[in-house]
Amino acid sequence: MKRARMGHRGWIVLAVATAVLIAWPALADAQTAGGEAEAVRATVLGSTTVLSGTGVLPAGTNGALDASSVTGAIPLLLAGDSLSAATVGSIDRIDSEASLGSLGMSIAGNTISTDFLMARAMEVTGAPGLGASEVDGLTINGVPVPVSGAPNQTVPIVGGVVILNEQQLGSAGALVNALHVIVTGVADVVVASATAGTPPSSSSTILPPLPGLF
Amino acid sequence: MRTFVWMVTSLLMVLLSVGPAGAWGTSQEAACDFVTGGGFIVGAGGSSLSGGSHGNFGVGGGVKNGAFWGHLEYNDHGTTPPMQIHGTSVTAYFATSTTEREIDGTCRVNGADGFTYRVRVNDLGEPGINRDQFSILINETGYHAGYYFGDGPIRGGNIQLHKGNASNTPPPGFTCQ
Repeated sequence: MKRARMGHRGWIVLAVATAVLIAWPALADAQTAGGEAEAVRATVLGSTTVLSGTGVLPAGTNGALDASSVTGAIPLLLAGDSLSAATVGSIDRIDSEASLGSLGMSIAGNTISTDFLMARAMEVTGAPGLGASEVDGLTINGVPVPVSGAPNQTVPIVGGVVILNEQQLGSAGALVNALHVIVTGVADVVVASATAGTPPSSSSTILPPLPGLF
Repeated sequence: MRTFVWMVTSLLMVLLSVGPAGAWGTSQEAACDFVTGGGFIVGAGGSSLSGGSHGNFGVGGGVKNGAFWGHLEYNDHGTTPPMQIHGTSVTAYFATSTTEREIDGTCRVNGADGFTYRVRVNDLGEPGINRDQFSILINETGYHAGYYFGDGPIRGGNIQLHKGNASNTPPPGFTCQ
């Protein structure tokens, strides 16, 4: 009677199979996300308001979601026009975009305005997430601010910071915020946000250090 | 010249829509994909958008699960307050070239119903700024602005033509182009 014995090759096969099984839930999780776009998401003192948000289009879905408004405003905080958000998905791809024109914002004594904002995110199965944004005509407290175009450009403001072209890109997705205003302990306002796939969690986002601001 | 081309094209499309399709009761055609975009145009002085003024827009069009899909938002900052156009439905969506789509629909102008619009968007690559095109015509008022009316390409933003997928089924009576 012969007894089967597992050689080195067998152990390798077993190890690979185990690794695949361990990784499978993560892959499955990655596919549960999808596409989403929002013209504005503002959280002030714990209260969140979304203007022109598409909701989530699940990954792997053939379809599209959109939301828009000719004007949009959150009293005492911001106003803009031509709010537009859309996410388009197919079996292996998601494209999301959000835009807003003529933004005017007043927050914690700071005034912020732009001519136009747009965020775009794309994810194709098997490829890293991609993103881009556009910030035109930015002024903060009446002073024009040059926009470098580089991801995660920061501009300090009274009580906080403005992040331009904020990006969280990963192997399975992308999140892009054209304009992100943070006033510590008071407000968190994102204007033009696009998500595709499963971007890395915010905790893994690489952002420049902001000494003295927090 | 662009205005002339637009007018001739419009006339041809009207004739086609009431001609063979209407008379014979055959199906009409729709582009079976999606287009989305946002941005602004700047008036060059020859359109309804005054010279140097911004026309902000957000737009989407397509066919989805047997119905037309999309939206239109437009603000003309050459007027005070800005003239506002808000799309309330999409009634047609078709290709005018491999990269250009026309979206037709109903809209409100400054909050009043009873208007119809025609928008053409053209995705000519990346980046969209100074390259992609947006044009708008309000049939009842004659308001017109954008590329076809001498305002040039978009000065900010992007137009994105999305590849069709299984959800891009046209409304009843329409076939894919």
